[in-house]
Amino acid sequence: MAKQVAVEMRNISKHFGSTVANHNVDLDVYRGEILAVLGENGCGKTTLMNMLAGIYYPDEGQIFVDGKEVTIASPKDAFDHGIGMIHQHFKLVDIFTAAENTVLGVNEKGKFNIKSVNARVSEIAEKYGFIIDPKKKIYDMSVSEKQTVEIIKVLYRGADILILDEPTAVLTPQETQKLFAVLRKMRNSGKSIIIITHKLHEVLSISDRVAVMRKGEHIATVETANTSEGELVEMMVGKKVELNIERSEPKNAEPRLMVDNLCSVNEEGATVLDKVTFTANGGEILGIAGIAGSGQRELLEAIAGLQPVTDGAIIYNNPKTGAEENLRNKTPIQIRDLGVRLSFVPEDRLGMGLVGSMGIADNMMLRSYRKGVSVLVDRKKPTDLAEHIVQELEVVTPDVTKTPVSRLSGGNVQKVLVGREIAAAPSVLMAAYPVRGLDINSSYMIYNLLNKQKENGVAVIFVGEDLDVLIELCDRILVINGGKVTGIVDGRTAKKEEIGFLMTKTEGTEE
Amino acid sequence: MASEMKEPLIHITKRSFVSTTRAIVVRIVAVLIALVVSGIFAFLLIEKLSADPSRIFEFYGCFIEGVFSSSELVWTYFKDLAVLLCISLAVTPAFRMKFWNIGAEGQTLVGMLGAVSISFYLGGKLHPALLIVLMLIAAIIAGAVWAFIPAVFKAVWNTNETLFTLMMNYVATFLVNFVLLLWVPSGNALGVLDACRLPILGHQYLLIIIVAVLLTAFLCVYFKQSKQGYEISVVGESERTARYVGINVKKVVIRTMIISGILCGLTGFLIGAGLDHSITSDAIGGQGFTAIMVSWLAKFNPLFMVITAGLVIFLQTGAGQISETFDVQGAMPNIIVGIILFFIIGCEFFLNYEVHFRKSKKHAKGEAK
Repeated sequence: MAKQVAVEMRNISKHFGSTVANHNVDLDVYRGEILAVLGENGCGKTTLMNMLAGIYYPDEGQIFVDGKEVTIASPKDAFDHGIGMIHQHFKLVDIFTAAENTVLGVNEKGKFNIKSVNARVSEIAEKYGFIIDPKKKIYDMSVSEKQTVEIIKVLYRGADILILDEPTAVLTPQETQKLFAVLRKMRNSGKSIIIITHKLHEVLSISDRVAVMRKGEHIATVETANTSEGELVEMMVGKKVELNIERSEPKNAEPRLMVDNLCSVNEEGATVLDKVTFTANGGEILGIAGIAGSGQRELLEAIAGLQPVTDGAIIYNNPKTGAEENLRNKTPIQIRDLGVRLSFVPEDRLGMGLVGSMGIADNMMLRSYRKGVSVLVDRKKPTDLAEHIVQELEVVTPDVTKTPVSRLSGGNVQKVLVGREIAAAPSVLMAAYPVRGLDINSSYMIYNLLNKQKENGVAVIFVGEDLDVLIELCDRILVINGGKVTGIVDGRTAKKEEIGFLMTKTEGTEE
Repeated sequence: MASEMKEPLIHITKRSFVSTTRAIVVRIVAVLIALVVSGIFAFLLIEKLSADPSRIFEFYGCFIEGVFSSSELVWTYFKDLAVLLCISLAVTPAFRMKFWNIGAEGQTLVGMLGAVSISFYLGGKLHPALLIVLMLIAAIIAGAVWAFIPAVFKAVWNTNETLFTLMMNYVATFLVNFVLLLWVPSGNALGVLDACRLPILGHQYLLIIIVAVLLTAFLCVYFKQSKQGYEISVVGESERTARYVGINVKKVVIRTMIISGILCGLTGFLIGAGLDHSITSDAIGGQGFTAIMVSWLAKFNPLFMVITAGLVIFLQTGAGQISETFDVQGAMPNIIVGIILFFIIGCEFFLNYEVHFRKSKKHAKGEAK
């Protein structure tokens, strides 16, 4: 079958201020294919697709659909040309049903008839193998169901070129497989699918061709069948990268933090932690896996004294004195005053871990400024520490005192935060999604830092989203769903599918 | 090329970096445009000027004349500057914490009321030095209480501090009206209270000027070098970060507002005992609101506030001189001040954002073809 070009992008450039998001990008998409757009965070892949979907307007360049030059100045223009995008963050009205969300914004002639809409939604779902109840409200839906609604929304508008932005980021391995089956069906019926991702194994399993981007430029488009993981990484990063995590055997592992039947409710009164029980050992990395929002954040914050606990205990075993302390409902200051060396790398780096408008030195001070009786702050030691971290972790920054950390790139921000937390010589180190948004090199640097802490006898708790990494890095993996621990598995023997099953397991339902 | 029409005419993008030269040039251009535009308005609206356009230089000269034509005017200028600066400094601790305290007017007024009340009831009965100390304490407590109330409501129940502090201004005004009726049942103005007098250092305005200088220096150190100042910055930037490192956010909010209130009360004391020796319900005359602008324009930096407060007073004094020289009444001088401030504040937009026009793209495309 001769391939027919659906979309051509020619010499597309886009700037944000002085930042070049895309520079002279050329891209072709054929009918009836799945094209993966691969690249590290910040390489401009989402920006490029947003221009196709009418969210941004290119500064330079042309777009052709079916060989004709078109102007796409709004999402409506994009739909008129049959282009629809499924964004990473869903744009749905919570109190509407699937069908109501689907027709929202569609200007159809004649009387509005929800029954016929329901029927058409079911028809689309059936055609491609989705499972969806058109009358179900969004707030009753799981993340994967919401994603299905987003896809149907786009299909309902008659799109035959679908762009999916990181569609698997929120899915379990099982859900990912289901989604891929649907995408293959769509491709076989002649639709063009563009999938934005930075996960290599997904690219290899789903796509027909891969377009690799780096620093806003299109590096190459290759046939998936003729490439390998190593080659793709080299194109993404620009040099060869060793993708190995050295996992050592835990030495003298001893219980450091014992969490017993921990319960917590959020401000709305909903249970966010339900009888969580586990032990974190010194000299070991304990991974925490789960679908986003399953209670990971609350668990770490409860341990750090930031989330109120309604029941249970958090027992800390002091490695120096052997004394046991219950940290339940203590403030961060009380916890520190007990001699508990607890470090915490929160998920929200600039909103919680650091002060974005301050320089690196002033951010170092966050943990230490109280020291001493003087009413004035001592800036000497934090500045020395900042310089040390900048050197040690190769942080790229113009200076350590003036440049606000919010100006640094995501990887450098994370190095500053992790560096500060490790400098406190912790005996427990908690890190939530520490490599999210980081390039491959920085990610591996963070893994190595965590491993080094483990070798020093620190109890490391690592909340991660990439199951492949969790399996490679962690000694044990705790799986959490809906605030409940659904299992603790050995990182050396666990299978991805097993963890995926635990991630969605709820009591009473056996899949 | 019909499709070209869809591209927006103007693109606005945020600047990531502004060079010092650029910042200075943009501000100078803004002042020049402001002078030209205000001249045009003056020409259209002031009869004596439209009748005789050659007096336009006299118009601009009013700004200089209003401040520098006699040594007494220079003293008055610095006195006005000091009062506005003190109130501006007072609102700043809360502002740096992103607590939008617009109640400086009321906090200063109750401070003044506290000081004047002490001298009204105890004047002549105590040693003057003791009286002054009591007046100061009363003023500080009154200002602090006026700030403490909205701070507690904000910290405990998360009420909107802007509305709350605004309404506290009205309460303060009516409180003063009530007290005045109590003291002078006839409804006449309260005359000068002889007991309500600070000793004069050299010149009668020197004391408040010295206080303003000391306060500026103190707050510079407080914000940049003290632990409390550091906590204020952290809370202002992100409450979650503050909680994460164990800062008691409620405590910092209340403490900082009390500091704001104390400084307002102190200023009220200086106005009451050092300048007015009496009180009326509009004794602060809106300076509590002008102070908000002064603080913002200076980006909450005490040193810059000397400049911004100086500029605002300079314009106000000049406007007063214009109404005298050209014999105009009503809002005209304020319109001139408004126009100039509009340009000075408006130029911040061009420092923070960059404006692109569509034209540039067509050129680029034309060249490509």
